[in-house]
Amino acid sequence: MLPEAEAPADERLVQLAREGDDEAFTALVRRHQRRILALASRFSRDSHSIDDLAQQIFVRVWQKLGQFRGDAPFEHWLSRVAVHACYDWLRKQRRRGTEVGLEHAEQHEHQADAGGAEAARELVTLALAELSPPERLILTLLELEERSVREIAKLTGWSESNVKVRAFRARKALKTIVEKLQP
Amino acid sequence: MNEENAHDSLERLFAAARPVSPAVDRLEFGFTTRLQAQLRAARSASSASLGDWAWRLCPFFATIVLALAVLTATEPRESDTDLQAALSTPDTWPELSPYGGVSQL
Repeated sequence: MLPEAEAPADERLVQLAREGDDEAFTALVRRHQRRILALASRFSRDSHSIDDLAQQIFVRVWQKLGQFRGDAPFEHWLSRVAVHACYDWLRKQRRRGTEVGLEHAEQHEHQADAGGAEAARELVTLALAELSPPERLILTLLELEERSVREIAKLTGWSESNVKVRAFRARKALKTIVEKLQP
Repeated sequence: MNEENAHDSLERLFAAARPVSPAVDRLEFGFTTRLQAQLRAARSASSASLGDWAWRLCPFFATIVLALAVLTATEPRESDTDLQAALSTPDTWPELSPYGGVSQL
């Protein structure tokens, strides 16, 4: 592991990784893993699923390294790959019907009553699971990741008006869902 | 008023849920080791897929080769036809009419 003072820039690590330097890719992962794990944790409460999703994101990054052109910071490109991977993951979960939704709300009510960040996260994740994948993605990025509409449009490739309309509908639906969950 | 309350309630909920989950701290431990295992699997999967495709296409190409072989074997060759024509009796030769057609004898 390189000492901080000599740590190369992301773009240099990408170049080395493309040439087959596994250590360079590992260094890149270590630099960004926390942020990616934090993003993945917005979409599931299960540790295995969070880990699995974060792994998938980095595998995808490794597979697509050749597509990074370097015209924007690596972090931006990484965010875009991560958001697309999360969206694909949400759609797969919806198709399989493996999301933990409102039917598990009763198990978590007592936790929601307890208050605190963990309870809020549980409640929000349960409620967001009831939304469609695009609405869930937008609301997660907007409200939990505190991204702007413009940033979300760039990350997803959707138009800003599309993002705004979906966000409006999602918030409205979420209010109803949360009212049902909370006593 | 109710609408505002619902909106404020949602805002408070999001604000409470924003801090990063403590699970992230635990998951960071050994993350790159687990990822390296995934990457090894991804590498072997991508090299295996080329071999897989070559193997899968074998019967297809074998069929084409066989079909071509059968076609060329059953089609009479021009030289064979000429030889047969040379050996057969004149009575069986079709007469060509002056204008290029075959006349009935």
